[in-house]
Amino acid sequence: MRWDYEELRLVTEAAPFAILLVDASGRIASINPPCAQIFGYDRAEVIGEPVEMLVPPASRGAHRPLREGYLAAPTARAMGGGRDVFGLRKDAREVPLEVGLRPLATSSGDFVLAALLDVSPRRRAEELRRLGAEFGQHALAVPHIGGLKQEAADLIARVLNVPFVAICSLAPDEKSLVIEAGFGWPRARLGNLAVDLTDNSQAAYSVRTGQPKFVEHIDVDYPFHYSDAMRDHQVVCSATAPIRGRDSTVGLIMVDDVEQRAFSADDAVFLTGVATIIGMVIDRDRSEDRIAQLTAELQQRYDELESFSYSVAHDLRAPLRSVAGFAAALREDYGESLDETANRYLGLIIGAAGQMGSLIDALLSLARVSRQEISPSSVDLSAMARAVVEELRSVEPERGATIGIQPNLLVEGDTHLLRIVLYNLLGNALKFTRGRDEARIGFGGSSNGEETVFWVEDNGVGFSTSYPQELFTPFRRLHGSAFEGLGIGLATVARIVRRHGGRVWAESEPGTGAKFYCAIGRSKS
Amino acid sequence: MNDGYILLVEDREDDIELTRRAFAKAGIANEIVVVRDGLEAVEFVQCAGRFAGRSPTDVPALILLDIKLPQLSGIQVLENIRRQESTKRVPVVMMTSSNEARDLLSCYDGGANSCVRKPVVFADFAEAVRQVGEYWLSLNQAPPRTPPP
Repeated sequence: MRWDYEELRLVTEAAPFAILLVDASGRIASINPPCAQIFGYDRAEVIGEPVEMLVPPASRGAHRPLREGYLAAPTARAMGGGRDVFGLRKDAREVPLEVGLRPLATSSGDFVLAALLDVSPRRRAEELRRLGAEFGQHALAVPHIGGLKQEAADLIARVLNVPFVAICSLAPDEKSLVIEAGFGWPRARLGNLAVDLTDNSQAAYSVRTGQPKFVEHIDVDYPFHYSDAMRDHQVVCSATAPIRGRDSTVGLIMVDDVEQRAFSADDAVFLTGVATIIGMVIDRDRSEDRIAQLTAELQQRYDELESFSYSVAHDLRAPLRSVAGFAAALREDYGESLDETANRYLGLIIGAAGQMGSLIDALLSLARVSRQEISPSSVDLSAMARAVVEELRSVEPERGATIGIQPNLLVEGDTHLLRIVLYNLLGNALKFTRGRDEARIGFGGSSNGEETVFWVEDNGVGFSTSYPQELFTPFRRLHGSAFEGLGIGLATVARIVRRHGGRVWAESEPGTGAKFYCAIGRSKS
Repeated sequence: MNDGYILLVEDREDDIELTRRAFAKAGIANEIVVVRDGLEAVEFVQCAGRFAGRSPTDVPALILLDIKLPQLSGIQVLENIRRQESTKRVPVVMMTSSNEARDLLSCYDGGANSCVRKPVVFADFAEAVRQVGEYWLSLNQAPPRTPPP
């Protein structure tokens, strides 16, 4: 089929995209208005000229043989085999293009129709996305916001090609902005220049609404007030992007140009993206500062508690020693002249003072368990249980109890602290089976790779409580004076196990015995 | 039995009396010289101040030193004792109320011979004092008065 050349030309004239017709000799036969616009020429300047005038000099030599080869075997295809090709504009700038080629036989001879697409907006959008993502990754990697704001100012100035950038933080009174980093503004203004937010400025609008604003020409587009500083620097175009923290606006990026310009959607996304990244880093830094502050406060409390325990140890025991000591002296020196009741009272004073001394010591050892460093190693709980049982029996050699210990139970933990756990649990088991004719005590456990559970069971008096966890509260005693004790053993057990990241719990049927469980996970160190 | 005197550095009158009582009950009749704060203890050691007239050769057979004292701490007094030529070999037993690791470490680092925690119950306290007295005044071989040339 042959096209009528004139009809074809009229169709291309009407097309909304760029079309170029080149004749068999490689001269430009027709160029439609969108195409002329891409190259920045008047159409009359290019008609009849070799098409190579639109090709950058570096590619020009190769273009001619390629063109002649194409005419010898013409097929509809993309130019450059899908690779980027560049066109040369009248102003000598190069423009990235996608070019589709199609041979056409017409009433006036053979032509090549080239359909062109200026891909620079797409390239630009890709570039902005890449730079934005790089900045985001960089921002995540820096330990503190430090020089990041200045880097952002420089990046924005370079990428958006603007003469002025200011990165501001909102003053505590929220009535002004302080420029913390910038580009183009006189150095002296940085850190000093406060942007007044009480007036009807574009900056105030963005801070108040939390929305970015892009103003092509400050005297044309919007009825905002602009500062003398901006007017002194011939600013006519302004973009503002709020820096948002977690809960509120914490700052603003201001971008100003001395020429009217329309920021593209991609420019806007880039700018607001940088603002978002800065806001996230500010938030992150604030969280870290807060954590550091809390840690310091915690350390201080802890130090106070430690010095308190210390003075408890020293100061409370001293007067107690006087009470116990002089009561004893009184009984020894004057006991004979006192009656039986007075002597009994002295005995009670001595006993109570002694018990209070034990309580103070128990509290202090509980406190020590809480602050002692855990140094984990592999612990053979079974071997440890055997050693503890031997030690406990040496105190009460006459006790007959059947004690079964499951061998080879290993756990990761602190040897010293775990020994205290077993000492307390096995000691309790012995204590609460004291009345049994055939006391039976067992130690065992199992491991599932994640966690090791071990238990101590006995056939003693057991306990009954609706709140089994109360057993592990300091000074909580379930068995009055029938069994000696301070109510600190299980609290110590629980504290040690929890410090290992584990759990404790207990089961019992009153009168038939009790079973105490500890679960300790794999060491986290 | 070493018949030298015992230097007791203790600020609590109650503890001074209880200690005297405990020694008496244990049948240890050595003279007990008491100083009541850290500064006084250092003056004693250096034969200065109130103790300017004391002869440096008249050293105690045993020093019982409370760790917590007014003016200067027991640890500072201990360091002074160890620096002084005339007292550097005198057995020093630190008397503490706490069994804090850091206290014990500074006692031994300062050159203490022994550390004893004062028990609350008097019977235990008396027993501790008796053992300290018997060990350091009787069983222990004291440093010779005049070191060989």
